[in-house]
Order: sequence, then structure tokens, then C-alpha cells
Amino acid sequence: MHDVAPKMEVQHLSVHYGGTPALKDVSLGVIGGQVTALIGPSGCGKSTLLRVLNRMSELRPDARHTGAVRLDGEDIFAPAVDVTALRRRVGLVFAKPNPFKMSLYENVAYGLRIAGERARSVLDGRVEEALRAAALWDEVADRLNRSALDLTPGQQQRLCIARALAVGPEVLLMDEPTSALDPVATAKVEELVSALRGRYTLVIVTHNMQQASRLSDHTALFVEGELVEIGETARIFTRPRQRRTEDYITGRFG
Amino acid sequence: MQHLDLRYQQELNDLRTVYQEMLLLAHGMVQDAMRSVIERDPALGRAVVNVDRSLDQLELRADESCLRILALYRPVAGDLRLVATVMKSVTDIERIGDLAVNIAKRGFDLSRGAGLEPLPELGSMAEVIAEMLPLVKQGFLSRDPSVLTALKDADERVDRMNREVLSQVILALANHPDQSRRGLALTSISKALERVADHAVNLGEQIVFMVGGTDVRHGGVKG
Repeated sequence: MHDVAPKMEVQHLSVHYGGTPALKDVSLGVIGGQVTALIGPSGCGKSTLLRVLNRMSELRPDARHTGAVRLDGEDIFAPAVDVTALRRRVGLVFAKPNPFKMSLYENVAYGLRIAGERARSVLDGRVEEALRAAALWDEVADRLNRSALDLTPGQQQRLCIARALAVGPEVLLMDEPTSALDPVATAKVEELVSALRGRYTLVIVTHNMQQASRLSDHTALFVEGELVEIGETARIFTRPRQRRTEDYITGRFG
Repeated sequence: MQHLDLRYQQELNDLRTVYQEMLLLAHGMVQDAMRSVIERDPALGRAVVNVDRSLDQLELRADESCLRILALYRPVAGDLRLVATVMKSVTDIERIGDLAVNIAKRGFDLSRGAGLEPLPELGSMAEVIAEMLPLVKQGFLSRDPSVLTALKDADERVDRMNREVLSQVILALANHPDQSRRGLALTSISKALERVADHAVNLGEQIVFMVGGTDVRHGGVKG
């Protein structure tokens, strides 16, 4: 995976919350147009890494980092970087669907309105496009003005993905996107992730090892803030190089 | 390290046990079959034929166990390679059992009448093979891929002896054409032993895969 220039590159990244280390000297590349899964036990730092990638980590006042994160070669922590613009390029989807208490349409149009888009025809087009990309359009096209809270949890999660896609991100970060969903809704979100591959760069945090193996092109294992191993998913799940990877993915962790 | 799911751990241990039981049984069958030939002991030959049913049953048990592990526990990494190895290996071990049955049956032919008798090379082939299956067991248990080298060396020795047996039988038949049935039985036994050694090498290759994930068959994956 090293012969392609990574879409995002993490170099010697360490993160502390107060005095507690959350990530220790992590370096890895996220390949463009592919799905990278971050796995590891709770508290291993995988969600911290996800949040650093679009600087959501800064929302915690006690968070401190050293090292660099680059998007297309440019440091995302450089003083000139507009954080809002960065988060439009690098979107985040949370574990629990969190639609806003407003209509489906307004949920998807929200980010565009914040960015200053006023033209109804543009908004209509972008909302439809995002809902289609999130594989939700056919289910909701006739009720765009209904409350988003009326949707099933699975539909709500795909709506949140549509909301993230509407502002035209290049990278989509997903933090356990199916952990609150039943198997059918999970399958639909996974299908969606597969469909988004190629057009978007996806980074998914998951506790579900089979989801990581089904969905991702690359898998990175974290334990206690350290990157243990990263590689092509098929190799990681058949011939891991590190003993700690073998133990974790075969359920011998502890 | 202990697996967190003890049932899963138990299933994997059971699978290892079935593999070893099959290996042990097949090893005994080949040795007994050869003794039945050399010592003209048809009763021992019949015992080999009967034992083959147990080997077949163990193969079914191993296959069932592999499918259950795949379906219920979805193994990955070393566990997955163990299951894949056992699934493939049991076919080789079961065939070794079938070859032992063939040898025993040719022994029945040879025990009737006299003439061409088992050549010393056949005994030597059996002795080499007697070391091969324990080597497989050792490689499997101690996860030692280096047994493959020893198995290949042994296989070459068996191949050479097989060719020697064939030439000797052809020569003998030229002088005694009336002995063709016995000659055929001897070459069948030799060929069966040669095949047993081939299967032992296959088992060694599967151990290499099980330990390190490298497929060394046919010179490895190309491209």
C-alpha cells in the first residue's frame, strides 16, 4: 500500500487527554478511494484517531497532540487551515444516528445552508443527489418534509450519511456506524459503504471484526494507543504478522 | 494464549485430536498391510480392510467439525489456517488408508500360490514410510515447517526404490511370463507405497501453510 500517495497521512501522532496518553507515536497512510478499518479493544485509541482526522478532537479542551496529519500532503493543523472547510472535506458519521429535529430535507440541506447556499434549485439537486448516494432516495422521495425522527434507526443512519455527503466531502469518517442497528439495517449501511468506495475515501471504526473483514481494503489494529499492525485486510485476517494481531482477531485478547 | 470462548477452543482442540487420530490409524494401516504382505498373513490384511471404515468415519467427523467451526465461529488468521489445513489434509490421510487397503488386497493375491515373492526393496520402502507419518505428526503438533524437507528427502528415496522394483519385476517377468499376476501385484504394492509417500509430502506442505500462511505447492502462487 506504500506505492500509492495516501489521501491522508498520519506521522508520529501522539495524543494526550490531560495527562493520559490516547495515541502513541502513530504513523499510517489512508489510501484514497479505499476503505480503511480501525479495530481494537475499547480505549485503544481508534476513535481518537478518527476524531483527529477532522480535528473534532479539539472539542475536548484537555486534548493535546504532537506529530502531523496531512490531507493531500497539507498539514491539517497548519494555522491557515479553516477548520469548517476541513470538516466539509473530511466528514464524520457517529455511532448513534443523530438526525436533527427537522424535516428530512432540512437535515440534508443543513450543511449547505451553513456554507451559504441559498438557491432552492441548487439545494434541491444536492439533497436528491446526497439521498441517492446514501441509498435512501427511493424510500423517502415522497416525504421529504416529514420529520427525520419518523424514520427507522437504519434510515436515520443513512440520512446522517446523506447529510455528510451533501457538502461534498472527500473523506468520510465513520465511528461504529452500525453499532446501534439491527442486522438488516446494518446490511444496508454496509452495502452503502461498498457503493461509496472509489468515490470517497472511507475510514471506519468498528468493534465488529467480521464487518472490518467484509468491508475494508485495509485494516489497522490498535492496542493501548499503539498501532500494532496495518495492512491489506485479506492478509491481516489470514496471515497477520504480529502476535498481538493474531491474538486479538482470533479472540485471544486479554 | 487461552481463547476467550472456551467452546471454540475446545472445538479447535478436538479438530487437532481427530487429525492426529487419523494420522495414527493410517500409519498403522500401512505398516500392517506391509506386514501382511511380507509375512503372508491374510488375517492381518483383513484387519486393515476393516479398520479403513474407522478412518472413513474419522474423515467425516473432521469435515463436519470444520464446517461447524466455520459456520459458528468464523475463524481467522492461524485458526482459519488450521481449519483449512485439516479440511485438505484429511483427504490425503484417508487416501493413505485406501492405499493401505490396496496393499493388503494385493497381499491376498500373493498369499495364494508361489513364485515371484516380495522384493527386499518393498520392505525398505515401508521402513522409510514408517518414519514419514510420525514426522508429519511432529510437524503438526510442534508447528514445525522444517519437516517438509525431511519428508521430501524420504519421498525421493521411496521414488528411487519404486523405480528399482519396477525394473526388477519387468526383468523377472521376461524370464517367467507365467508370473504376470504376481508381478502385477508387486508393482501395485510398490506404486501404492510411492503414492503414500506423495501424500505424506502433501501433508508436509499443508503444515507449512498452517504455520506461516505460505502455499508452497506447485512452486507457490505466481504473480
